[in-house]
Amino acid sequence: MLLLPLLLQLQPAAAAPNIEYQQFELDNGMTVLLVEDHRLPKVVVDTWYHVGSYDDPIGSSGFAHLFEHLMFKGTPNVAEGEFDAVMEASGGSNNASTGDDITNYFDWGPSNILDLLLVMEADRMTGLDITQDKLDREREVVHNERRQNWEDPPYADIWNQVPRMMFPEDHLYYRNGIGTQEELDAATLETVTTFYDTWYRPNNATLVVAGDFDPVWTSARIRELFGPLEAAEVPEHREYPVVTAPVVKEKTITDDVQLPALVMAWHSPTLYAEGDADLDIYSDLLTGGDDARITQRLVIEEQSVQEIYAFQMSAKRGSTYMVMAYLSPDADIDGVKAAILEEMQAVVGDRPPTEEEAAIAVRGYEMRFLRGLESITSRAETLQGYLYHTGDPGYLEQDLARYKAVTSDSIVAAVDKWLDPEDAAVLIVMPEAADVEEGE
Amino acid sequence: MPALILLTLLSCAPKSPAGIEPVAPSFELPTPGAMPAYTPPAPAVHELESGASLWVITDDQLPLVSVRAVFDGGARLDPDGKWGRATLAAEMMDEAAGDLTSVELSKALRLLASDLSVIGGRDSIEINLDTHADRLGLALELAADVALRPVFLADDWSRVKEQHENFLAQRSEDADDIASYLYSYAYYGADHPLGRAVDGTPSSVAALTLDDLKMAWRETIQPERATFVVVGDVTLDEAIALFDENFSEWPEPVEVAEREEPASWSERPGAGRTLLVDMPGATQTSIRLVGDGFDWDDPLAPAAQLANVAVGGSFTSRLNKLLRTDLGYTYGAYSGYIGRRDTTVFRVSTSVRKDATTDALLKILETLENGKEGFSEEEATKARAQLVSNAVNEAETRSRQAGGLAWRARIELDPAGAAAELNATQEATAAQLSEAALEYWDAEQMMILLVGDKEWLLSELEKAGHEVELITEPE
Repeated sequence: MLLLPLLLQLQPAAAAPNIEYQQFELDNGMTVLLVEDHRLPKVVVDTWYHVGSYDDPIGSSGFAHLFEHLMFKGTPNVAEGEFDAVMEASGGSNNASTGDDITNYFDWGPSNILDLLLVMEADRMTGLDITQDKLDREREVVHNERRQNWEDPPYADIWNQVPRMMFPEDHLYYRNGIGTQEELDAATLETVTTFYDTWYRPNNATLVVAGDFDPVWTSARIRELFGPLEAAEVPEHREYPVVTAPVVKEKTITDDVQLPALVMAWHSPTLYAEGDADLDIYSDLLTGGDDARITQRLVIEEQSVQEIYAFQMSAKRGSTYMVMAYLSPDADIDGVKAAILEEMQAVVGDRPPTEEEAAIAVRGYEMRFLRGLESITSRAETLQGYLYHTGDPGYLEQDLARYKAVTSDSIVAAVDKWLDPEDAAVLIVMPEAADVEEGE
Repeated sequence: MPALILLTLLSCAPKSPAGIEPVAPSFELPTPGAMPAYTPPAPAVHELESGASLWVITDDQLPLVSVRAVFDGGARLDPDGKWGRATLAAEMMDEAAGDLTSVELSKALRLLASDLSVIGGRDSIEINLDTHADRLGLALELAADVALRPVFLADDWSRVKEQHENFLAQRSEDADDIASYLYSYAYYGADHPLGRAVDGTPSSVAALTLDDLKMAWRETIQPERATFVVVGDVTLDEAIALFDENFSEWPEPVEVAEREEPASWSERPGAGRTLLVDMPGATQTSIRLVGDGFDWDDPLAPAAQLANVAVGGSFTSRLNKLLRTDLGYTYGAYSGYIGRRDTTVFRVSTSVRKDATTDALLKILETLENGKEGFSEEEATKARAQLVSNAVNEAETRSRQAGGLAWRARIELDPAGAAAELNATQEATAAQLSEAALEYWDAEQMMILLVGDKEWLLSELEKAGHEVELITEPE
């Protein structure tokens, strides 16, 4: 115990250093960032298109993600399969992911292949060549991905169920971004064409090059390759009324699991909005370690819960605050639920957050920021994120400042405003062997 | 080479019969110049006053430090029937330690914004610490408590044991998790060091006592078994001072007799068999093909690693291209040589939709067989480039670099050997890749492990000529 008083006197770590970058915009509206980092002979080319699952065509859930797969299926200049083959042949690799609002494509490899990466990204930005056969085969891959990651694993159905409890059926957040097997099948070649023509335009994309490169040559080459690509008017993203209360408040399902799970979800402040950072810090206070409030009580002391996580899933158009608990086999679910809510509400009652709790959480976030600067890819992604969400790639210091500004009072205010127990959606997952009635 | 490939492709690029009209101008892809040279850094190596080894790579670009403390032993030292002993000893070490309860330890670590975990593996117990450079000294005090002064409280044990038992039960609901742990047990047998149930079995864990765990800790946490890997913003001299200060008082040593290698350890109980674990209702089948890999001193080792990249160790590998891209059977198919002490294990892994299981198996076996007939120069070039890139990627973060060095410590490879090993792969020829395939990809000696829906699979597999044996997880 001699150590603890000493630790409490620690000053927060120095702020994460800002990432230096150059920024310019092409005539067609594409924004470019260059981030030099000569530690290793490696480059990263990171392209974000400002379209995601939120823009799935009506009746075609999962399409933005399926389309992400199709972006690797070739152009007249790069035959099917060769995008990956050419890149890997020279030591490069790539990946992509589809979020609610954006789709990112990132390539990395030895610094001598930068030109190759830029050429291939420019090529597929407007030159994609998709046939019915390519669409059908890649759809099968996505069906497999869905089965492997979203159907068969224990508890995976939680991620299909929670959005359906939180949002009305006509809201695009109602469906998980992976889509349903049936709606994936509904996508046609016309859907592909329309989606590509609508969203995959240089003026709807941002490009970051990071790593070991010559900025003068790179800047000129980007202008040469991407500059001639034609801009087009990109439509506004569909807007939905803000959803403030869950559509389904209670639901019980069964699954191939051994332990019951209890999930509670609330609508919460959007990314970077007031209360967003406060709820991150609050989560740390609840379940950030064995000493955190809920973990200590339910996992360590009462042992009614095996694992528990509270977290703010920040999103641009509507965040969700979630508490996920995997219960001990014989736990009293109602009792656990009451205990979780009691601990959550205690901060607005007789046990407000202490300075020590806030300090612990802020230090944790400082380290996360620092670690986020380690790899070249994460530097590129960090800048892309800030550029997209705030318009300022150099937002890092302000972002960290949001966390440093969190106080006991601001946490209380955020919890009071957003996490009313009456506004929670509650999902219970029971082992299939259990004698329970499924339903809402 | 890429330019040659592209010229061919351009001439046969399919015209889109319908769908998107390509608008990009025609062009040829650039041919990259020479790949930049890269030599993995070698750590400075020092013997601490206690006799423990210290490996240090200094990197002061960011004020971060990653520490990996590798204690040789792990499940290899678990006595017969006490499977899971090392794993659970590791799980107990970061509960109460020194003067701190588990809750106080958690709080102290979070005040330092430091991540600490303890993992029991097949060949080691390892402590992982990631911290800010300014707090390394304080964080090491806590790491030393965890390593040298765990308390093993009965109350903590009761909770940790129950959680572990629930983990074992939950793992049985996930086909891929089952396949991932069961393959080595089924191939080598329960008694073999490479087959041990590292996490234990429900019955072995139920029988473990706190005294068992204390003994595992005492046997393993000894200076002559310890290698401390440090990567980050700390110099060798600073690290020496910190580790000598914090890791000076070790547990009372106990005699540990490494087991004599019985003749049975040369046998492979799973070899040549097709085993099926029933997972009723599974929509996909998890597949593992397993065989002996190369020994680290085998001259064919560099070529074997390259052959693996070509057959299943990259996205455009033969297996992934065939099973994912061409046939749409899976989300991914991979192979790898898994590094163990002295040797490696060759493993193919995939999860395919269940109605494609028999054909996927056929294609995997054919692909391995085809490897013996030759690899192209393009495939060998790609594999060489990929291994260099992997080495660069490993150096990108402190935790990855520390993890790579910890792996070398765990399986007793030369701490400075990475550069020579990488060079050797750059010199291996395409012909040697085929030699390696011939040596290590003997389908008849491989074990096939399937986890999926028996009701569907059994008759389909038998129709395809597989003699399937149903097995269950160890109790």
